[in-house]
Amino acid sequence: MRFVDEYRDPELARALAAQIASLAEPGRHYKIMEVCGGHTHAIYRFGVHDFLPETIELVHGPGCPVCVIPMGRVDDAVAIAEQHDDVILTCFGDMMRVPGSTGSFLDANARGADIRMVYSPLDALRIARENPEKQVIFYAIGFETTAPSTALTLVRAKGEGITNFSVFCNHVTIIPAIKAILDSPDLRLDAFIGPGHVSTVIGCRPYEFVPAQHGKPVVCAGFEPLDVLESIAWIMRQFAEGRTEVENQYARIVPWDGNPQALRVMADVFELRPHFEWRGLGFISHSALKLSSRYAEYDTELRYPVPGVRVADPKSCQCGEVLKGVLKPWECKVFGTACTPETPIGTCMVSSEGACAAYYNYGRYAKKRMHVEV
Amino acid sequence: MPKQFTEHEVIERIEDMRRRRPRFIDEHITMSHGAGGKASRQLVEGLIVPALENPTLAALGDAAVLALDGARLAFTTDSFVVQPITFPGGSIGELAVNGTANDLAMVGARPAWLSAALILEEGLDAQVLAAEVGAMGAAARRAGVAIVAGDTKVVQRGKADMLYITTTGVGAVPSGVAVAPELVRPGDKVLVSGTIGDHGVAIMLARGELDIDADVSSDTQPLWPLAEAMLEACGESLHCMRDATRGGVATVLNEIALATRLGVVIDEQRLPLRPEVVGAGEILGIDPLYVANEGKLVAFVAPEHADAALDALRSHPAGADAAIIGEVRDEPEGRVLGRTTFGGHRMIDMLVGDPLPRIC
Amino acid sequence: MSGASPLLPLAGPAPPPSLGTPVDACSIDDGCITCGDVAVALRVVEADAYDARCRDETGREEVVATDLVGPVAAGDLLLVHAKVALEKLTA
Repeated sequence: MRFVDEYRDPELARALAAQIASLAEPGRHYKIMEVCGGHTHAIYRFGVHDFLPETIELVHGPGCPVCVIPMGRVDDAVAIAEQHDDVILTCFGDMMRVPGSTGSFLDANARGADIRMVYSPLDALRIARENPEKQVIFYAIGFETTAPSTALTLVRAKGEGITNFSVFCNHVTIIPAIKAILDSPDLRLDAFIGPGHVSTVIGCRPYEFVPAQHGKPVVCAGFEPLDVLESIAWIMRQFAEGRTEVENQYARIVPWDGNPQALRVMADVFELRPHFEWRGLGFISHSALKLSSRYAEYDTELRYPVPGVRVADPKSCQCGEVLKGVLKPWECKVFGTACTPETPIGTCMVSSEGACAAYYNYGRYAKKRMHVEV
Repeated sequence: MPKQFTEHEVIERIEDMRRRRPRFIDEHITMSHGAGGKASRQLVEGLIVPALENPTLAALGDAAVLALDGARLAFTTDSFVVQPITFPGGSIGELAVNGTANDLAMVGARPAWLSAALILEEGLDAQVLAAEVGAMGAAARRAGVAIVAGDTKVVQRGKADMLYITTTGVGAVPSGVAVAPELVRPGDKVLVSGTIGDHGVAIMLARGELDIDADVSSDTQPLWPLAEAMLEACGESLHCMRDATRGGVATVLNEIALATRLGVVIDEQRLPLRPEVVGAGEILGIDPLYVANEGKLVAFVAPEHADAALDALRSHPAGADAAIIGEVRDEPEGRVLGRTTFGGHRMIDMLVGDPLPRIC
Repeated sequence: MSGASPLLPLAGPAPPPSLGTPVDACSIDDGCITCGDVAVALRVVEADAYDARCRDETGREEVVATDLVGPVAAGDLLLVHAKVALEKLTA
């Protein structure tokens, strides 16, 4: 693959590790949040932790759109799929296991619903084209990386006059989530590794309020392990030089101004919801998208009676505090007892890349540097 | 106020829970229960094994080893529901023979006899059936086994998907041969017999819905020649073998780590991988370590004979790409640790989800 | 390869259907396309106004919607997420 091998070189990693260590002020502790699930994955997949001094702690952010979907939105879709025999509900594979209060999509399939995984919303549209007697719903999730794909699919559906297709829209936007975390009074974060591919679409300007209003650096980073290390080095250099600004480590992909054409299509197809509930973070204003009036005929929520199920996050769940870096996963009251990777309660345990699931699986060994030459 | 535990207490509690026998608490069977990962383990160890309670089954080997009139027999069974039924490199008939014969080979038995039960969907094209039975015959000859008993059933259209095959196999374990997880020792080297992930990726691409085209073939092939070569080359030093089917090499390593309460440490740089499989994995977000193989084994060999075992594998065409990928340690207990290609390390856990249903 | 027929009719109606039967394109355990914010770089082999047949260096092919990046030509490199090109890369 292009862009891969040159960003996985262990020699360069060691050089960056030395640079990071030399920039760290003795006695100072740094908490850096990687906002995006893709970065969390790279950190675990490649063992990026091993190249950081113990005083740099990485906090996993809310950037996994699957994990932030509240149970009620899963229940609503399950209800539509189970109550209408002609409905084919389609979604990305990562959505299948996410628990609702009446089970996951996988469970609903086992009870007889027709829920299929697709690789792209365009595939869902193709299923609609192939099955004119069925109603095909695409359960849309994701941040600004995925929202353009949904928007484009709707433009094509409308252009082709396909009527047996609709979108159950759960797209969320990254900036309000970062704001919600920054606005918390007990925040303990020092800097952010900014999303990579989300920024391809929205650009780097939307993060400028973070250094300007909150005095914290943001470095938009690529997804290879060297990208993550380099972005941490850039953050450490900002601290060392007394700067706080937005920097673009992923400039080979991310234009500073994003993709205006994608933003235009999104603005045509979507509009902001007044508020949307996030698992673990509660209601956040203007943090999610719904279909605009121009695409109202494709809005699943207008086409079907939606139960509008609200399942409150369990009181005992402290995901919000974990996300903000206030609590460590093991300090949560239900961690490892009521809340486990097999029976997750909160967002941080749902994905194996969530902060709590990662700690549950690896916590015992995270502290030990294991010697693994074989 | 609930009592606040220390970090150490919390970790101890998790480790205790991990050691307990898995429980089966689901209300329905979902596709995850067939994927070979954690949910499969919960189904088998939490529901099936307790109901059929006996020590031979509870050992959960690839095949049962049974004493009969002084001889030791290996006995196993496997069902095949792969979709599509033909794919680059093989078909369901060939899989059904190799899969069961390989399970016998993994306990050190020379596969001898198979039975085959066919479940056919009403309307199945007779030529398709003839081709698959022909494939079974050819695969049996290649594997040196005879299909000596069988059964056929037909179900209504829509009640099965074309063709399902169950094969049951018997083989003889030569005297003096003993391979089993409990013989694995710290220091043992871990070998794989060739490139990993080929079968699962080939099936995924053959389904065609990804509009992705790449040249990857299933690796379905008999493993007994490789097992026999290693037994000859290193005798008792060959401690354990597993064929890395559903759940891939990562699942086999986890099974051995859990069964032995030892740690398995691998160097991912040493994994034999086809570039096409790596590429497909990158785009799909799938790790080839978890992808099924149908003609690859993982072997645990005492260190002084590891090179001999490697030479034995490589002397056979089916083992040409064999490699030593890691070793067994005292720590981390019951876990698999990988040194990543980047030079860091990661825990390689059991699979939770369902990367690819109906691949065998 | 059976089933994988990425060669679209490059003019005329939308891509030919190929059923989206269950394949877990993105597994929670190993990072997933949406929640991992995954995108890949692919080279254009052939293009019409809205779609491009793209290939990566290992020979894998995929048809990609190019509406969001404007006209593309054979040889262009695209950043692709869920079969939609998000950016034309200069490399």
